[in-house]
Amino acid sequence: MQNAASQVIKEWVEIYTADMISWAFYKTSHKETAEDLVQETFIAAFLSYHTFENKSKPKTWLFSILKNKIVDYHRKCYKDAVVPANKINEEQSTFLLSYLFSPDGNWKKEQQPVDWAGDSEEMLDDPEFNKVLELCLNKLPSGWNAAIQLKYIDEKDPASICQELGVTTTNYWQIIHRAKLQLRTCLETHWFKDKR
Amino acid sequence: MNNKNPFMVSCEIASLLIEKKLANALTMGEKRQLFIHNLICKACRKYEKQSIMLDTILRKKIGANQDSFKGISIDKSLIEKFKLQIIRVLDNK
Repeated sequence: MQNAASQVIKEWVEIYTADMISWAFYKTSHKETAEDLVQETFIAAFLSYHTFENKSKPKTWLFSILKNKIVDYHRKCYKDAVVPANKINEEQSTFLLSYLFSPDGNWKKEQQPVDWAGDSEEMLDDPEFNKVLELCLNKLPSGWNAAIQLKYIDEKDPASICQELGVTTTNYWQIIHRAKLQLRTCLETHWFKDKR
Repeated sequence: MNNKNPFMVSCEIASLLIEKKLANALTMGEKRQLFIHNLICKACRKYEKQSIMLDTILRKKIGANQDSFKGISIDKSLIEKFKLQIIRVLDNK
């Protein structure tokens, strides 16, 4: 690395690495992954430095590259988990649905939703709640977690997520449905039940 | 609820329709099914409320961008080590 870009990128490494690592860790819950993605981001920034226009701030530019890498990572997780493991997901679905619903498809009495107390804004400021939420997200089968991450990371419409993941819309709604049911149940058990 | 009537869907189906509703993805027929189901099913009305709340939470949690992100502190010495590692990698490019 010999040119003008090198000096600039090295300065950026010095200034932004800590923020980028912490953000990538937050988005992937995985330390090694966060480090890899940040490293790849700096390499990509170096290789395409000529496309960087001083119109945007370096931090904004770096984070937009990093964000794309995070999205790619979740897409890859989804493919790795769901495509070869459809059977496991099906078993997981069957188990979850029969846990929540009786054979006629209606809520089992003890699983019927009861009111949740609390305000979402305040809850997210509570480190304890965040811990529980992360635990519940991590307990999802990895393909379901990846689909949830892609759904909420940048508010893409369902059609383009389906295209990215190579699933039918019916399949996509089933995955989101199961994932939300499981998350709800996990939060109910580990958080809301104790707040009543 | 019985499933013999074509306008009646089970709670399992209704909770799936709720996810589609939150993304404005219901067909006319599904809208009607969910509307009727929710009229008579208190549990699914609660589920819908909770699902909306979960949406808000997930949107903030997962969709948080670097500006609204509050930060997780990571060991400083690890960060310094990692910076050196990146610079080494870049030097070899």
